[in-house]
Amino acid sequence: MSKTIVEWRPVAAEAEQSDGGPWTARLAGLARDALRGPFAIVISFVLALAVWQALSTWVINPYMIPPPTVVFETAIPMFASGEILGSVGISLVRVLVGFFMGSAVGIVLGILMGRLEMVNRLLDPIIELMRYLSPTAMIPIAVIWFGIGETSKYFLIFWGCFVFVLINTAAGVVRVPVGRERAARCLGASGLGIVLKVVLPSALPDIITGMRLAMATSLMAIVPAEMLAADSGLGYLLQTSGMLAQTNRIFVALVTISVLGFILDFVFRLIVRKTLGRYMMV
Amino acid sequence: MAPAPLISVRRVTKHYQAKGGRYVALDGIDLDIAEGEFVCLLGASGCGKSTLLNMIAGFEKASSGTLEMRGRSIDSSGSERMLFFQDAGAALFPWLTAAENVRFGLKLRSLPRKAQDDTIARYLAMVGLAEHADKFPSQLSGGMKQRLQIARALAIEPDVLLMDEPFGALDPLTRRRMHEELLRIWQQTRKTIVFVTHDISEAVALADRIVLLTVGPHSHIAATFSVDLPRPRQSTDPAVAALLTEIEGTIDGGAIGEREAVSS
Ligand SMILES: Nc1ncnc2c1ncn2[C@@H]1O[C@H](COP(=O)(O)OP(=O)(O)O)[C@@H](O)[C@H]1O
Ligand SMILES: [Mg+2]
Repeated sequence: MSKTIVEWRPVAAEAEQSDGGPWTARLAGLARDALRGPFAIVISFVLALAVWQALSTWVINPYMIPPPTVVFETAIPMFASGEILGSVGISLVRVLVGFFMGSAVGIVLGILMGRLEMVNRLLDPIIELMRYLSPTAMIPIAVIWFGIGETSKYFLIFWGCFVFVLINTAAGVVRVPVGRERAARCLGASGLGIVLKVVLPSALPDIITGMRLAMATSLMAIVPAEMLAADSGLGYLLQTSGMLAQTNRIFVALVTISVLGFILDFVFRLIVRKTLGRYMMV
Repeated sequence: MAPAPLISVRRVTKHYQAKGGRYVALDGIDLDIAEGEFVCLLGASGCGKSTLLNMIAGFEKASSGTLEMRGRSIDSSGSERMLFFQDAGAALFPWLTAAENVRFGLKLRSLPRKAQDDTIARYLAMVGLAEHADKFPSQLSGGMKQRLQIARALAIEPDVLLMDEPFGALDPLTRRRMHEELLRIWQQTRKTIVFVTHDISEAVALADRIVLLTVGPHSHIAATFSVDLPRPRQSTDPAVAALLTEIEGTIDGGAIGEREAVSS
């Protein structure tokens, strides 16, 4: 699992020589070294905040993009009153319910599709078409199916999740080495035992990848899900702030959603590493 | 002839559906394998060795002809016939330690825990992995992975080991050591071994009998060589060298060549 979105290959040795040369080259060398160090994340955030602050103080109308200091000032009372944590809690429950339902259905269907050619032939065309329907697109039908209560919110998040888990699970199942399965059969495994003791553990790295993608999507789906007659949650906070044109509160909600996603992914990876580490070796 | 063979292959053919019609991989294989025998299937790659081995294992069906073990038709895989793979890394369970890999088959036999532990210790020791019981396959070298595959198989006490170029990916030095170990284990356990290789000297080093296949399509047995020489066999031994020369001569003489295969 990569920590960053793009893995850079190491730069050739001579390019790293930063001693000597003009001061610009030396400065570039220092910056490069700093960004490779353990504080790269901190540097990245501090720089981004500084640029953001500068832009919205001197360049852009601060009403359009309130500077970080203003966002921070707005956030403090929202924290103090429990508004943010309350919204986070409510959205988190919805995200987790939808995510786990989506993952469960995705894993089961993915295994069936990866193992049984008939199931694959039947489901693949439908999945291929369903992929293009975002949670937002499913709002009207969700309301008709499940009403405007919690169920339709779970459903919309589920919808955003399960395709990712399904596709990755099916791919992982198909990739299980023929030799491993045959060896297991020679050793006496058969039927469901093959699926549970060989196929599932072999496909686990792909399943986990699918679940990480799904986790990100479920946070994206929180906004459309809470567009439906919600009176709480981060998506609701975002919308009401939008209707009242409170850009500073909008930014607080946006930052909270992204930080929540970041923390969820971190916790998910931590749990995977602690409990499923042995399945992540190839 | 000797007593009834353990495995008998009769007039077996195998074809695959290909783009331009059917591809006949094997055509008319007749082969008897005796209990305790060490047979090498020797042939160029693509001639159908793996196909034949997988049919004996019960993972593939013959298009025509019969395969029997102890007089019973082979129509599915069974734990008395253990298939081995060249890619041990893929065949092993990477999420289980060496000991747990061996335990896999024992658990399925619902052996008591104590008996499992004893068996695991015995077979890991037999292949020289006693010190590495708690390592995962990814922490083992190629040769060690192959030895683990052997230990895992022997632990369930199969009658037949079906080995598909098991040492093909190893360096020559490791391969020599694996030959010694396999022969020692074979002499210790008296298993029947069907060993696939495309390496003449490997076949000569190991086999009681070498079965030479023609190149495909329509691959069949070109010749068999009984090898009644003491082991370990050194390539400097004149008898061993003579056998190598004989097999090479048979091959160069066109016995496995394409002309014959096409004309048949
Ligand atoms: N599933 C399959 N479908 C079509 N052709 C196959 C299949 N398996 C093997 N063959 C063909 O049968 C021939 C023998 O293959 P194989 O038994 O793997 O050869 P070897 O093990 O001697 O290298 C090859 O020409 C191969 O392309
Ligand atoms: Mg082969």
